[in-house]
Amino acid sequence: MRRTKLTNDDVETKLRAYQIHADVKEGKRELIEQLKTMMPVQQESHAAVLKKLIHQSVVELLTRHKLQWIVLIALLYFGFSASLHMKDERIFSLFLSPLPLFYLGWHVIKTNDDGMRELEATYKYNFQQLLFARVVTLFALSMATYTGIFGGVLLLHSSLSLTQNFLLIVQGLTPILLIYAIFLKMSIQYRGRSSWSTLFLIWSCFTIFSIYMNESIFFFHMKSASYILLNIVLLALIMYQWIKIWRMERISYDSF
Amino acid sequence: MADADLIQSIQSGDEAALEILIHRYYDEIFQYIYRIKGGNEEAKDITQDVFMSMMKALPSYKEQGYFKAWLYKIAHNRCMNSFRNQNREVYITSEEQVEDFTKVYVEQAFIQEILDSLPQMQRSAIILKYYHGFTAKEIARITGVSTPTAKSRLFQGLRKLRKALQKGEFDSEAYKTDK
Repeated sequence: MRRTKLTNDDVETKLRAYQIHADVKEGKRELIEQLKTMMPVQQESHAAVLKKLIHQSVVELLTRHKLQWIVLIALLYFGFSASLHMKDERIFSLFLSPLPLFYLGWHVIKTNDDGMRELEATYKYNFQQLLFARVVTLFALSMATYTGIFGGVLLLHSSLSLTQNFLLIVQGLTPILLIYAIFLKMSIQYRGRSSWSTLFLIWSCFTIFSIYMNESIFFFHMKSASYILLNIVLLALIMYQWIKIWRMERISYDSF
Repeated sequence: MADADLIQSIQSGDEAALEILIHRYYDEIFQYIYRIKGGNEEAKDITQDVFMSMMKALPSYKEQGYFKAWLYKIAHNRCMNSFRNQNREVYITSEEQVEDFTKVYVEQAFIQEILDSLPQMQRSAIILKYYHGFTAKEIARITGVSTPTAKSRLFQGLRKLRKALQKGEFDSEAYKTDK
């Protein structure tokens, strides 16, 4: 028996013949009632929404677990101070700098976990808006904590020139930006706590390499200008990821 | 009443406009999700979720004439999330099978089965094109890919569908001949 060759039109006809006849009246009625409870819908600008959510995220991240924060800050202070007495000041600062990111990142990942879906359905704002506010706050707090503490340590204890101190801070930003960029990529794709373990693993590998390979590691041979360049590239990547999160469910209509 | 007017009315608290909008889009969003996910109850839940998300986004939504595509984008994202987060349910429950086992039903179940056999992204592109009338460019926007990628998914999906349909027809004809 020979097979008859189907054309695209035949396929289309067969596809279109498949119609769904489900009874959705009840579901529709329930939905309308549910949505009516969300009315009236007030117009809010993106900036107003963002400001409100970022403020909320800052409060969430800073006011809870105060003791851990104090321990972390003390650890960073002593760690950075100790790094100044090492042969190469960068060894400690390079792997200590992402600590605030890991600490705060864990809380962000926890709140974005899959188990939160039910709860999110009751929130006023979308998951995308909440995620965006959280990741922006995480970034700002991690950067501020690192630069604040390390900058303070350098000002108080460093015998290096101002330019050298500045370059040291810039170099310490690289691991933060690198890990944060990976964190963002993961936040877009996954909603599980395991992504934090992956980040932690990357950072641990980096730390172990730094300790055991010491100055032979590529990172320590890079010139300051390369760090600045790498940071700019990473920043651009981070901005791109932010836009992606913010527009997760938005369409740029003009290109239709 | 155009979508833009409805949205504006909803934003200013008009409940009747909300009802019109739901009646206008509920069925097609439900059908899109049903064809992708295959389960009646699950499709209802996801449809509910899509409209809740729409409502939450309305305060900051700026209508520019493509509300429908935006709604489909939310639906598409919800379906993909659902795929990521749970194992697929069997698309025909035993109750449904007992309910109606006519020839039409068997054919429709066969089409659903073939659609299910396609990779998720190809399936979504095919459904958006053939059941909801979107162009490749619009599909690209809804699914968040480039237009060539959307076209390629349509092409690959259609090719696989043709093969599967041909095989299905051949098998059923062979079965009839054997009998």
